[in-house]
Amino acid sequence: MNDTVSHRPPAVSVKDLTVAFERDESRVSAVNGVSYDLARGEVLTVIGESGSGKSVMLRTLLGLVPGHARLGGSVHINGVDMNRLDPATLSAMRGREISMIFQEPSTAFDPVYTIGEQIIETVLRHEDVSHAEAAARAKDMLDLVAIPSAERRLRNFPHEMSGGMRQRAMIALALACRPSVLLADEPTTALDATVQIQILLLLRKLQRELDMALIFVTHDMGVAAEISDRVAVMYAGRFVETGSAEDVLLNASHPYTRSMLDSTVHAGMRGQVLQTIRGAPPDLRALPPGCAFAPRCPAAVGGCRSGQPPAVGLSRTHTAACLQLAAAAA
Amino acid sequence: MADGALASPAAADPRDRGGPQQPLLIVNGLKKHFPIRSGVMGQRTGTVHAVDGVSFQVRKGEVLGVVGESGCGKSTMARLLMQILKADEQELIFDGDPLGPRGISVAELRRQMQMVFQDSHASLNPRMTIADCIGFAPRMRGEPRRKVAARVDSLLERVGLAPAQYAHRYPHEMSGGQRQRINIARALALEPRLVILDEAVSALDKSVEAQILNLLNSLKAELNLTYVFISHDLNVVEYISDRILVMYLGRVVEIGPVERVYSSPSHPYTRALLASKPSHDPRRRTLAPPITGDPPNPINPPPGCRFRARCQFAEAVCEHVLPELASVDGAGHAAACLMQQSGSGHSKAPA
Repeated sequence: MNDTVSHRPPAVSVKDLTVAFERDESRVSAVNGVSYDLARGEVLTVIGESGSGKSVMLRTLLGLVPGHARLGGSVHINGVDMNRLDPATLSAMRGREISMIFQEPSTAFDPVYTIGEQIIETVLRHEDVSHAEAAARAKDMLDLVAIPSAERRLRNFPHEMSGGMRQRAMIALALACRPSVLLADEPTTALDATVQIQILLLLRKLQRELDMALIFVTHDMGVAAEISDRVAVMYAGRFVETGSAEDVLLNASHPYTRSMLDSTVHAGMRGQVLQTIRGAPPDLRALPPGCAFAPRCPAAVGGCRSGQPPAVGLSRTHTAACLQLAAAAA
Repeated sequence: MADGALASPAAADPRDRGGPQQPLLIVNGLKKHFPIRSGVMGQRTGTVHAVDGVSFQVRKGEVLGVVGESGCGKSTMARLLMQILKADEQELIFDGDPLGPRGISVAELRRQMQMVFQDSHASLNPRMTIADCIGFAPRMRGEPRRKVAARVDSLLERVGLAPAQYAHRYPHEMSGGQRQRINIARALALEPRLVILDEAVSALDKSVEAQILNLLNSLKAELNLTYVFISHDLNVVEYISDRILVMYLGRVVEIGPVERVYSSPSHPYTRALLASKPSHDPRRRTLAPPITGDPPNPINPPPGCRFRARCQFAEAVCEHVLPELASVDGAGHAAACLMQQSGSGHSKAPA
């Protein structure tokens, strides 16, 4: 970050975020202390397996958590404390300053309104413009996401579009009010290979052109390599490793990141026995007192099971939360 | 692996009738069209050409990978092979026996050929214990209860689940990876020779996917199995397959040994598909999409090559000639593209 923008608050600032779901006697600790800042123009990819808390963390930024969730820590979007907003102000921010795209565009759209009506509604909801101006914006948005014959497509219902086109339309809807922060929850997972790469390149281009902060959640290392400036690896509700895309994907340091990369099938691995991670992901209702990865970690020692490992700075951009790395660095 | 009640692969499998040279499965002219009806009278307004004249062979002991995008007919093809769906036209020959009154029956074909599905939860009966579920098919075939129980225990051990711990649990008590192990055990309960795996690892996390792929590889070696492995994950298919079949809109566009197809893909669609794989290296990102647009709708496809609307090499001849598979190298690598076929009229065709 250079000096001219450093006085501007970061687009996203998350501090010690915790999210737990309490029901009856059990308490599920989904997010257990996550902190990061993200500036406009940056892409942060959060990589994690199912149950790592990555989607819950993302939804918390928009206030999309059920009533029985217990939140801790703080979330600031463009300097505004999201936890202190009344519902009306929160709802005015959603879609205007911060927007989200989902894995399944078919469930994110309302099936009984056309694509055009849904984009126009969003624009009118947030901006003081005429219906004609909103309609013109809707057409511009479809052009922006490269949907051919935009004028005609505005009159389509969601089911009349193919999967890739529906995903483009959802991006158009999310960006209609030019938000500064875009959240993306596995938006290419349900798409075909030839369409996935198109959508990734489109998101990358729009993020640059519109100078947005993009938080992209995925379980796919290849997708992360294509889109990220920065990468965070999430395990049991914590960031276990963070850094630039090259730091994390090419110089992985945390044992979990390394194990996950080793167990991913890459090109040219025919005939090899695949590395696996022993054991299973931890039970979020009963997390171990120490490092959550210790029970599965090939390098774990006694100390790993007693206390939370500190985040160790491996370079100016690269950190990992591992006791072994802390010992090596000391 | 513990010694179980399952047959171990002897040098000569007594079930092997045709010998090693006889393909385990020959599929000729497999075709399935679904009518689309609309209006109050249910008039036929269109036809989905889900699988449109597919022919291939599965060799004994190989893994045949099947790739293609959604709607290309991969899963319909798997269901047609299993006779879950009734084909419009088909000729199936299992180890030399044609399917039909003069050869192998559907019941016997299904005993020899089993399937594992993508959704590990939906494909298990929630009201049956794991043991009942795995033992269901053998019991329906009249095998004695005690023999079935021993078989179930041995299968559970083979797929890496301790019988004492898991046999009496219900599917909802298991993780996705464990449930997929159970689906594999159930598919093996009748000692099939061919297992069709339809996106069997696609819903799993990467670390679990690696465990299941290792398991599939060791089971194949131990039990002399042959797999048809359907997946949209190009790296996984490359990893596990010996040969690969590429489908596009209900047709086979390319087939061949996996090294050949991956190193020198012949059909423009295969090239685009392989080039669409994410790079895994942030220093070497994809800069431009290999092809634009979505796979088209399989309803009423236009005449000629199915890929021509997205193909940068399409010429007038591609609009009226439907290319058939033709050998590329004389060594089992074939593609259905007019550019590969001399005298086809395409300007890039060899003279």
